[in-house]
Amino acid sequence: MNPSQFAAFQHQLNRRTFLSRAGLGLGATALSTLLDHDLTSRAAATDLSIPGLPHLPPKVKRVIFLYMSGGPSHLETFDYKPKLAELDGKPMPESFTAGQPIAQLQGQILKAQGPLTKFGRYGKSGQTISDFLPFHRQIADDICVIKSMVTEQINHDPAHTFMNTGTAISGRPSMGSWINYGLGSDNQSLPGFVVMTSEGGRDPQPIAPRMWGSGFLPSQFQGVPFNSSGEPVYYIKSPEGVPDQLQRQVVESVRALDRHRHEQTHDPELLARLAAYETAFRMQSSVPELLDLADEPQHIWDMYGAKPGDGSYASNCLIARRLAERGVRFIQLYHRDWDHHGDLVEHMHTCCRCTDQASAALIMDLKQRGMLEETLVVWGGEFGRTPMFQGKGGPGRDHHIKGFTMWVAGGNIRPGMTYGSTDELGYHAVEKPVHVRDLHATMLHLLGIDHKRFTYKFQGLDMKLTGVEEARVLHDILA
Amino acid sequence: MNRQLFFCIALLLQTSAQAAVDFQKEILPIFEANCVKCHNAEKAMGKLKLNSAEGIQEKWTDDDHLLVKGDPEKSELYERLVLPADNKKRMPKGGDPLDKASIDLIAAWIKEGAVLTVASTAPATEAVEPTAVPAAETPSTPAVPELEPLPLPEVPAAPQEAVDRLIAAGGKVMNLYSGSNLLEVTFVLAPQPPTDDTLKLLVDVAPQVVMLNLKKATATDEGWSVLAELPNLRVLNVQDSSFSDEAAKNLAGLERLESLNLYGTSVTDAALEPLGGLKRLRKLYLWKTHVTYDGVVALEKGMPGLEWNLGWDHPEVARQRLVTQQTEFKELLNKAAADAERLKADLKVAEETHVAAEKRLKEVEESLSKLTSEKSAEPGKTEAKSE
Repeated sequence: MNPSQFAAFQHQLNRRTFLSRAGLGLGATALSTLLDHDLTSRAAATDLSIPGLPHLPPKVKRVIFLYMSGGPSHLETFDYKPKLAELDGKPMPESFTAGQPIAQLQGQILKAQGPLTKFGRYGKSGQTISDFLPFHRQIADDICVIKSMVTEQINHDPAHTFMNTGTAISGRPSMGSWINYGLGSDNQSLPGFVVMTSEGGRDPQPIAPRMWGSGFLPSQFQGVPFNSSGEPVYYIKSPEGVPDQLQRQVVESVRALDRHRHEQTHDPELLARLAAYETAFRMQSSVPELLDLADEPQHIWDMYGAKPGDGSYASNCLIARRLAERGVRFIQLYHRDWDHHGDLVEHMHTCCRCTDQASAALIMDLKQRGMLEETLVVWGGEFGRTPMFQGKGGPGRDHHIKGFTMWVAGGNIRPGMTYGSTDELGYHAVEKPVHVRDLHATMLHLLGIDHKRFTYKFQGLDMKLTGVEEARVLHDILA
Repeated sequence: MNRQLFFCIALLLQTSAQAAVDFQKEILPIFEANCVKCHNAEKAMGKLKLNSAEGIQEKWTDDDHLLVKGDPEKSELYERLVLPADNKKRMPKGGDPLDKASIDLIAAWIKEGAVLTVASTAPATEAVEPTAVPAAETPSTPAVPELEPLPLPEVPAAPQEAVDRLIAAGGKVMNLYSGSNLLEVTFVLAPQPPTDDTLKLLVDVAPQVVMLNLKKATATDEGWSVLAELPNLRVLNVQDSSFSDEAAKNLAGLERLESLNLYGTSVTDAALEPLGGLKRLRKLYLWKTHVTYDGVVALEKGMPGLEWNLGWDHPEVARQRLVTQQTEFKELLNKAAADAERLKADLKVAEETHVAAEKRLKEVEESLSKLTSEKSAEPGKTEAKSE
């Protein structure tokens, strides 16, 4: 319960006590009015954030997180290491690997694997980009490439949890939920946090819905998954023979029952449930409008490289833009194909063919609509890949957490910039390491939120997305 | 690092002893006195670091025009020092040119091979991937005049009734941040597009509005005139609205305006005219308008630092994109051709070696078998032969 909810809750209790003590039988009526007000207060007011937020003038209104799930290789995308090419096939120097966490290569002889592609320098900024990402050349001057990311978890699920919630402990709120909770959604007819997972590519690994869960935050702030193809959102279509009016009656009846129950239990989750019903009802008309892509001209489809209804990452990027236009606060697109332990070259081709063009198109499309300056776009996965060879099939790379690459763009982020670096073999982030917490702190900062003051009381603690360890805002990448 | 480079540096190190101009003692101090303010390890304008031999080598590795051994005229590093004073590329940027003695010394140094002596403690063989380069600036872009950021204006709170009227008209009204009296007003999700009547309501919150979104508004030129009365406006979005060239005239006095979105309106080059004096304007969105490429380029000339966007599919923008790609592919083609040539030459050498080796092997084997047969034919057999 946030402070305002808590205050409202106490207020209700007091009122209820007063009403019952006064011997009036009107408690329920009074409460329902109050409850109605509490429920709708954030929906009707135009200031949707919780009290005290934003702490500072926001630079962006929303976040689009292009989540390259599985751990894309920094060594074949943006982080060019000629020294690694020299060492190709030779033993990896122990000075790098001694005592370091190893995932699947445990107990094996560690050999260096040189870059498996060529790199060039593009744009006025001379951004280093690999040949796997030809479309990224067009946005070289729009993105800020962070080459010194570090995380703490070396296997997929905990690392996803870490990237999304700032901790490896399951069940904490995701970043999207925190932001949705803190700032609310501009559009009451759509969820404030939407997640889409693309089809296409090969062997997609599972991704747990926990990654967009709301943890201890009220559950209406969790991410709502939209399907990439087929029925976009399950169960929002009225069943055959159920007209809108009847549907409305059902929702009203359920609301009444929930209210009644809330009066007895004061369970804040009932409020969340009521809010969810309301949003879902509105989504019955907003979602079809959102996903009616007939008004997108052919040249836009071509720009993204998408085909209507293909469920691809490219289509999702296009839909992400539409969600952004409609005021959705946090949009997360998962593409789950980046876990290249072997046959890296082949799989990189597949992955990049699915994502390269659309990622670049999204940036350019947001830009031409004037939306990039109010949107933070993040590209990256839960970790990077080892400078060491792994050979499940052809050459590949294992999970790697001590140095990897992500890029960010939009708002007042300095475009065409490179921030931080790994050592000469791409192992450790040596210059200006950026922890996942720093990324979260910077994201919140751009949204006008001071991560140190953005807390939620839970189990006697003031919980934060950035936790209790040091997290810093990357002021150097901001203009 | 590739072998070629290693070889180069090894060569450099070798020859450094004989060089007359000492890089470390004579050249580096010139750079330190005049150039490192912008070309240091941290700042590295144009990705050039002049604070050390390694720093220079880094850029040189990527750009062989930086220094052309023996030819100062072809070396960009020298060339940029002797350009006419009014040329924007002349270095040091915005300062006096280097004195003649220094320039001559640099020329002499390049003539002698631009030898980069390297401090003995640092291994010279590290070609470091340039990192952490705030590379937004390139030498070719004109310097963006540094404007002191204006502090946010101090204004009283907007009258609640005025805010309520805007909300009733379908607007969203948000405080810029908690505790601020400044407002963001948006009609993006309004059920009805804003009209003249809606725009009139803005007068009552005129000092407070810093961000305004009037997407799809159907106002008349008269209605748009309210914009002239919003002195603190920083971000204005009128995309897909009835905004016109005439309406643009109202923007001329908005000194705080930083971002203007005219996408999807019918404005022409005439709308750019009133914008010429807006010193703080940095972003201008012109996709799907009638503004021409030449028009906006002309505007940009007087407004360094202005970022404009005519859209991804604008013919001129698309043409430039294709030209860039053309260059990229030409380079790739040349590189591939050069690689092929090199490999062909290698192949030729290998084939020749093969033929020669085969020939030589045959000769050796013949000699060997001859020797063997002679040997086996020695005493007895010779006798037998002689018989």
